[in-house]
Amino acid sequence: MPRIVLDTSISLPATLSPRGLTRKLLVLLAYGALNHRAEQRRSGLADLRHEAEASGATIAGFGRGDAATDTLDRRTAALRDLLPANAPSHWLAIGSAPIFDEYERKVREIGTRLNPTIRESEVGPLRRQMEAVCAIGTPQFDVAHTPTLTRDRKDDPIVYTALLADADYLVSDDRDIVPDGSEHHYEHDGHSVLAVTLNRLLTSHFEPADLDWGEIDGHWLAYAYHFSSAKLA
Amino acid sequence: MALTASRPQLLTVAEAAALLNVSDRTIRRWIEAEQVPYLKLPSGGYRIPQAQLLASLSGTYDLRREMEALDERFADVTEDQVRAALDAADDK
Repeated sequence: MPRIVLDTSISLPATLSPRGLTRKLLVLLAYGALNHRAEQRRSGLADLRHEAEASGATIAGFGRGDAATDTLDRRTAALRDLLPANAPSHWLAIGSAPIFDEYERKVREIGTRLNPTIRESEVGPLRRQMEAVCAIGTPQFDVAHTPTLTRDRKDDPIVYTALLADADYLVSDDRDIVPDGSEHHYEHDGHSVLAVTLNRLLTSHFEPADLDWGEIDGHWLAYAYHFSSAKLA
Repeated sequence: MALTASRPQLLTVAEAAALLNVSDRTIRRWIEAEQVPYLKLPSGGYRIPQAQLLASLSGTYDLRREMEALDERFADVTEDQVRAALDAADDK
């Protein structure tokens, strides 16, 4: 189950350019997140049933959770039908509050440089898009006390997130994060991660290597999500 | 393959109320309406599984529609244009 962290050099084009290669990667990560969440829900429920059985308790009130799991399964199946037969379902994106904060900061920074410009009202939805794709979060950490790992202090929380999460890959086209051209190995306090450019990830590490990226449509990302207005009242 | 069951984190009504910043009465109302998952103990008390409780909460935004609207607005934006904007911001 490869776990990856995307920095803003990847996540910004992925969210803002629906036809690009980075968006296709995002579709696969959303597919992985759906599978992961459904599996987590099922195993959590199995653990609860085991606990209830052991203690003589009865369990109830799972209608909403069961319905949510069914919805996850339906969306997973819908994407599975669209994706190439050999599309992987186990690549997972990892996020953290500092990663999402940096993404949001960069969205605002480049917003006026794009055509069309990014409206302030679109910043939240863009951030939610990235948050939804990330299946796993890292423990909270204080950004001010992030160890120095790169030559740009602003990049340290990104690398630190990947280290804390024991990610397999940190994908970045930022030369401050991957200074050696295509790969750079980071180690800190018993954790390690391989930072790679997108090109290196896809040509040397991504499995299956023969995946036909041309068969993936970036607009399918929206199919991974649905409207949920149910709210506890 | 046999899987080892892990212990779910179970909250008392008071702990669940504190977690969500609502009253004990609200949690009990949700339990009675079966709006949240719970275990009823042989003693009659309740325990609420934290993971399933948090998963049962949902926002009111329409993520799919948000994404489709963004994709429509930025349909013609290329990755190179985004990278150029990033480079320009870095050179600032």
